[in-house]
Amino acid sequence: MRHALPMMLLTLATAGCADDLRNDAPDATTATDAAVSSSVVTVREGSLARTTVDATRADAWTYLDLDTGAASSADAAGWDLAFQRFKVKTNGGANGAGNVEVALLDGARFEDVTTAPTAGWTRDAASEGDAGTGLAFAQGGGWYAYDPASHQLAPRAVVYVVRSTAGRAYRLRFTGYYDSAGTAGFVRFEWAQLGGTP
Amino acid sequence: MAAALHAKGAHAQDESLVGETVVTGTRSERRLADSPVATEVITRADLEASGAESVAGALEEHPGLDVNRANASGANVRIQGLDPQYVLILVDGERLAGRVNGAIDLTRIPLDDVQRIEIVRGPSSALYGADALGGVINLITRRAARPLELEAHARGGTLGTLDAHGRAALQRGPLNLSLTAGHHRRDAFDLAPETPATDGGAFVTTDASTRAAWRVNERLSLVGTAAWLRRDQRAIDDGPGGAVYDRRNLTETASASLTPTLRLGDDAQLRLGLWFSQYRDQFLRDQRGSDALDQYQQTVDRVANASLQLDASPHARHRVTVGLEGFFEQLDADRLRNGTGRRVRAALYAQDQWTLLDGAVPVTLVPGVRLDVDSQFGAAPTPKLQLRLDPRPGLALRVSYGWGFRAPSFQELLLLFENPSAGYLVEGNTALRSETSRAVNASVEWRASRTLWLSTNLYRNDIDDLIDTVVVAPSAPGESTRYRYQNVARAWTMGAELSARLRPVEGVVIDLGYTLTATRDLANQRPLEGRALHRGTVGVQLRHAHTGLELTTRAAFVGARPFYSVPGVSEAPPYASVDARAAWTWQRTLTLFVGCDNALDAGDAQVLRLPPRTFYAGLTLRR
Repeated sequence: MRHALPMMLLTLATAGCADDLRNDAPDATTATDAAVSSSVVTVREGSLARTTVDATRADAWTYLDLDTGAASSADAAGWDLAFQRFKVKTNGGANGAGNVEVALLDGARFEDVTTAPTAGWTRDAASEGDAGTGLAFAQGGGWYAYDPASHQLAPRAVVYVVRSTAGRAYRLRFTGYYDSAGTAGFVRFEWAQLGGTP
Repeated sequence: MAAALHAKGAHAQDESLVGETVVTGTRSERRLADSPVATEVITRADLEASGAESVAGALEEHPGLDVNRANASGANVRIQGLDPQYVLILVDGERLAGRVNGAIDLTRIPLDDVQRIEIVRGPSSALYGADALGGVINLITRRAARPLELEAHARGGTLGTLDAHGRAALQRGPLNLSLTAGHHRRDAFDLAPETPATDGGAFVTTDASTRAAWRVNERLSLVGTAAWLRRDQRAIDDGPGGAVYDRRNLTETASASLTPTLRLGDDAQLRLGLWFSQYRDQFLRDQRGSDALDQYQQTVDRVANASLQLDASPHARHRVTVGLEGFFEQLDADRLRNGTGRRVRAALYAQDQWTLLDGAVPVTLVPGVRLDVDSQFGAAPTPKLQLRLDPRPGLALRVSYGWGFRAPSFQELLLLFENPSAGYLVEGNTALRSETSRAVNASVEWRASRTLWLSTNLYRNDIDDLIDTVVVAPSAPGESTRYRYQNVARAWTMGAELSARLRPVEGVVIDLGYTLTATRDLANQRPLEGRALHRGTVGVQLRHAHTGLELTTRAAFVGARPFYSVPGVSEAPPYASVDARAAWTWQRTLTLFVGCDNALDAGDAQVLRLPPRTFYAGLTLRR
């Protein structure tokens, strides 16, 4: 015992003394994906626009003006869509005075949608703080499918037509929810203005 | 009591094992041959012959044990179709801190300082309290048997494996001291190269342990132990949306005990046990290409136990064990509400080994009962009644009926975890009751001759108040789905465990095992996930005493297993895991060995994360 006791005390004293792992993380401060360094990034390719919105904050909305393709704000009259995680609200109905409305074209091919539909338009019915079921982009099962096994969110193969605050119609489809490093909350979609609108 | 030997793990030294003692079935030393409780023993010689370096490896091909490797985090064990959180893992009869999701990772525990492994099937809550439903696996640490023992062991192999330990022990007069230290490492392995994730992390483990026993005088003896382990694991995980993480876990465990025993006479002793065990894990997740999902979590689990046990024989036909226990646990983890959980538990237990009849047909009855009172879940009484009858020498019949319970974990009680990117929230429930089981075991053990030993056990476990997550507030699309733990489910398991040991000729030992495991999840009306209906084991050992050569092969054959929660897997195909080892021993001082683990290269990235085929070679020096 008289040999063992100091040994035991020494053993106990050394336990719980390992370095803090945070001190030697190799690239814990790597910058976020450069492509999404600002809240809205739109890349145009002819008439087609590809937009990524940083909607990672769960307590704030990121606003987009489709008519300019740039970021907007809640105070600006011209915002069309706003994003918070997987929720997408519009400047119309319960959520704004901009008369933005959305038509869901289930089963349509994005390339084949060239004119705005005459019927089937929906406006946001829910206020922004609620569950989101009343949002125009939640109609018909919503814009995404969620796989509970892999926790992965994937866009559904549906096409939307959005009428903006300026009265223009855009075809729009969602293409992703993650940035190139796999971080969730980066809503990606492509869109193009339809003919015959101002 | 007739010499009804129950030692499936025993080798050529069966005869000497008759005098060996076991402790798990009664919480006090009994000669194995006399034990009223069926106890299986894997001896040090078996452990060495198997070539295993961790407890997981030692149990992998043992009859009737189901080592589960479905998770990338390690391995744990099922008994009688019951999940690892229903199997109590003890070291010298004491609980280890650091049950992760309810189970101890058995790959974490090296065999460097393990003398033997005792296994008792069926509920043992009447002696040990919580979590002993499927059975108890008790790791008994090594102690010196000779005046001076020195041992050095080293082996290296493919997959970057390196295992080494050294040990010094001495037995001098009233002192018995030992010191063991080891070092173990392995590279990561990847069973699905098309994904970036590894399926088993790289690790470096360093461990040290010491034990000191001092017989102060005729009446008083003291035993003190201390153990320490540091394990550094590195792995690559993938997440939804193509995220790739470099993960590191730095785990440290430490434990210490002090056990004074006072002899009160020829047939009575009083033993005080003081035990402390600590587990600390640092988890660092580093997202590749971003730091948005980087995460650091620290988990510290502390367990302290004090017990006072009286063993007495007030009458020639009665051996009574009465004990009192106080248990304390504190878990500090980021995901718990308020970051910490504490519980205290007091327990009283009593067991009588009552020789109803001796003579030609000995009959022993063992009634036992325990009452636990816990600060979280309240009172839990657990009775058990065991009967042993030896109708003729070499034949033992055992029947037992007992209750078991599993205490709700801190996670189930206190978790508050939201995954906003995945849209779900899991919350604990402080109103949870413990899960309970009622079990019947009936076994026949027959030592037919020196060349044949047979054992069969039939069991049934009925489990009630199983804890599962339930969606409490049906959420709208896009909102977090809210899950809460509740006592909702019921299940049963039943089956048969058959074992045979044959010694057709001198130097040849053949072990055969088969288990039938039928299970039912009564909430979902389907078999429990991951259990194979059929499981078989074969062990063959050839020893040539003259040349010192020894060949050991062990194999486990596991049938198809149903899965419900693993993407892309509804039924996992059968597999066989096979280990082989050849050793040559010179004059009891030098052993050279070569071996192969997982010779058939079984394993997959979904539900069977076995390290791929590994070859190794090494030596052991002893004095």
